[in-house]
Amino acid sequence: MKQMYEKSQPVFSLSHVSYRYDAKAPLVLADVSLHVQPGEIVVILGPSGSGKSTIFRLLSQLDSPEQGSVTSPEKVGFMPQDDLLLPWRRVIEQAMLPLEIQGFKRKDARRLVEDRLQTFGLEETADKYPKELSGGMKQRVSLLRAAMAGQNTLLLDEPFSKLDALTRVSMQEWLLQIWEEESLTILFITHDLDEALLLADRVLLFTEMPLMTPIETVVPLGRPRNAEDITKPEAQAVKRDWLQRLKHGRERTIAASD
Amino acid sequence: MNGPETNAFRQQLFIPGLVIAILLLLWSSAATWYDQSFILPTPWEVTVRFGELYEALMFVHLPATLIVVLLGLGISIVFGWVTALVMNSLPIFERALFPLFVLSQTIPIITLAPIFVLLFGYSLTSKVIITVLITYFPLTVNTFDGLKSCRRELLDLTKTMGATPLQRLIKIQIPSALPAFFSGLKVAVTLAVIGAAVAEWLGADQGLGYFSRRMMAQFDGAGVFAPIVLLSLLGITLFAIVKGTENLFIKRES
Repeated sequence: MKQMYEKSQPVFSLSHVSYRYDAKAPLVLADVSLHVQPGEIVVILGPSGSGKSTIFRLLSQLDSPEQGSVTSPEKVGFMPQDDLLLPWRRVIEQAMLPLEIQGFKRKDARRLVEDRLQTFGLEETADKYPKELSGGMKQRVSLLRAAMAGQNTLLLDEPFSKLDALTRVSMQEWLLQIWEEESLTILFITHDLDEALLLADRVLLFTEMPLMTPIETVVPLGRPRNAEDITKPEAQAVKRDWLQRLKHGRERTIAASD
Repeated sequence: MNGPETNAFRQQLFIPGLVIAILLLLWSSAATWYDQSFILPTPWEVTVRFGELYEALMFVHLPATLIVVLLGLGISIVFGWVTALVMNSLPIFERALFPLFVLSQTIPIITLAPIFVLLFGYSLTSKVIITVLITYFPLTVNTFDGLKSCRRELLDLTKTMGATPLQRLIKIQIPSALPAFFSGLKVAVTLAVIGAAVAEWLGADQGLGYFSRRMMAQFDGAGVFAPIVLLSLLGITLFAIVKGTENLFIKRES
């Protein structure tokens, strides 16, 4: 009974949220509602520069909405596009940062991080500085730090967009594996349709500016999933549909701004 | 023999060494040709004089100058950090103080030095004040720039982790500022030696600057140069110490 109750309680939700950067600016979000259930991967898909990241600023309480309500857990692990690692900290110390901020002693923080290094494939590199790491490794560290900060509730903002295509695919598959092993809850922003297909349980497609109620798609692929699965016809049909909608949205946005 | 190590040796030691040797040779021949050793002594004469004055230079005047340099630098470091932190946390101070800093740099501080000698006499105070005045600016401005260079996104990220302003300062901003602080400190140590020497030149009863001036009054050319060589060595040593400390703090560079 208890479990049923918890399941119906979303981890993240926006309810009729409107937002603008300042009083005179145009709306960025116009009456947006969305929710993420525990254990889900939900992907927010939309064109670059459409204000998707604003949703994360609201969910991580860096900004507050003009209207509507925002629910998110007290602790959220936020992973930005840039890894934002601290050049003076070793890998293990990067992941200790959120714990230190929460008031853990360094020794305890170290132990908690050590327990998870292996899962994140960072055992070998625990004592390295960011300069010595490849782009993909840096993103692993950034994800581990986010997981330590958010107690497995993650907001990932285009985390792989700066990686080369091959590394990106292997990081996406890796993320799915971690997600399963650690039962993470993930809200993920991207403008990459294939990434959305590969990762998501549900995709929330935003096609216009300002962002309004998204078009929701349940990705018609099973789990576990790998990079080849997105070439299946049912996935490609979904992709075709998204492309058309994005094109219409773009035309409408241009028409509206004329 | 042509490996990367030989190359590194050539670039780091051999070539500068060669240039120094050539310069010494030029100096030496110019001095021999000019033949007025109370104005332009040869490097050899300077070396001999250094040997003769060794005790006085090393155990009386060097310590006197060193105290001025270290006190001046120490005070500048403390005040520099305080000013930089205040300007960083309260933008109104940045707006109020920063133009003043830049403006103050258009004043040749050395010309103000006699005022402090008049005010405080031939004391340690006047010399330290002059050293502070000359080193405070590069330290403050560099440290402040370092604090400012900290990325907005990084501060936002730590905000999402629930960091207090103090935690952000200690864990993010101050470490971010260290490289810039050390660049400022490297400029400041050499300036501190100059500041101390000038202050002693203007009014003191001991110190390397004072000694050099006294030798000048005695038309002892080699005696003028000997403390100058020591001042230069002092500058180099302090610079090397700062560089070493920097490497210790900023491990990521290695």
